[in-house]
Amino acid sequence: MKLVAIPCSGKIEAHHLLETLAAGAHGALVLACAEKACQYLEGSKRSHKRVDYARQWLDKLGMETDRLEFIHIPPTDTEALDKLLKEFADKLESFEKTLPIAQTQPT
Amino acid sequence: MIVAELKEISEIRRMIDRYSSILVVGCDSCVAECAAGGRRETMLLAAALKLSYAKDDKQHTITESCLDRQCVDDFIEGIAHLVPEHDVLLSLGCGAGVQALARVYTDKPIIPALDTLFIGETEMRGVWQENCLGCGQCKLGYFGAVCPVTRCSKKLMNGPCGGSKDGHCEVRPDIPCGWDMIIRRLDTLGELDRLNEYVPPVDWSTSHSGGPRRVVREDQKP
Repeated sequence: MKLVAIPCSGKIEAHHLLETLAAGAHGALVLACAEKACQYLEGSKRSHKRVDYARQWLDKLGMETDRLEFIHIPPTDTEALDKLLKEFADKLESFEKTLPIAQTQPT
Repeated sequence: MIVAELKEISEIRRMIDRYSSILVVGCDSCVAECAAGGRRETMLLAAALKLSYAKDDKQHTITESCLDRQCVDDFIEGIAHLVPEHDVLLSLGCGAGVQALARVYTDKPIIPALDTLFIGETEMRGVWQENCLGCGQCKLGYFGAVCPVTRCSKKLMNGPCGGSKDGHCEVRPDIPCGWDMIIRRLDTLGELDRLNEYVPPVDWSTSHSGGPRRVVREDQKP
């Protein structure tokens, strides 16, 4: 599982998620601050909507929508976070493996 | 601005499946504003197509690029280095952009990924409203800048039909009555007298049924 740190979950766009899958990832989990704890006020709220939108795309493509997940990080409960991460990893294992896709150079 | 929507992926796939190398070309002008064909949407569609073809176990090369504007040659030439390597251009421009690409890249098929819908405005984030039909005989000054051609369902030019209820159109209750809007606005501006002038029906013979329109400005030519 690869961890990508970003300044705010609000920076995540729907295309980032689909590109991640297209590059060969089996799934992507967006970990966001609690909705009322966003430093940029609406960042995590917008991010949640974008994850939902990307899931709609997966549905249109006939792929498992649960490959994309969004959760608010429990602020101090590292055990709960650990459990969530393990559950997500196990869920991805149960899906048909995504074929690796050669990534073309963006222009 | 021109407002458009992305076609269903199934329709796009039907049109491009025969090509092995696809260049997805976006437009960062009008269709970016309506979240249909801008930079983000270009990257999204390209990724979706990659996933779609991988799922079907098909080998297609997908490249994406986004032009600032897809209807002006100076911008269109920006992808000239990419075009020869691809079998087809999948355009996320409006109808004007698709056809402009075809005029410049004469030896490549150009497939539209969008349905071009109307000229309109961003009413709020995520909501786009038609408000101009390009009749070419703008009389908005008489109507408080509310167009009876687009905003009145019956295109009445000289007053309401009398069928509206609480400011809503009798043709469809979710449509605000265009004439209710016109009168309220002119009243606010203190210009109800504008309605005393007779405005003839729009002469559509000069527009959509008279062949493609053209504007030529000699002073603007090189």
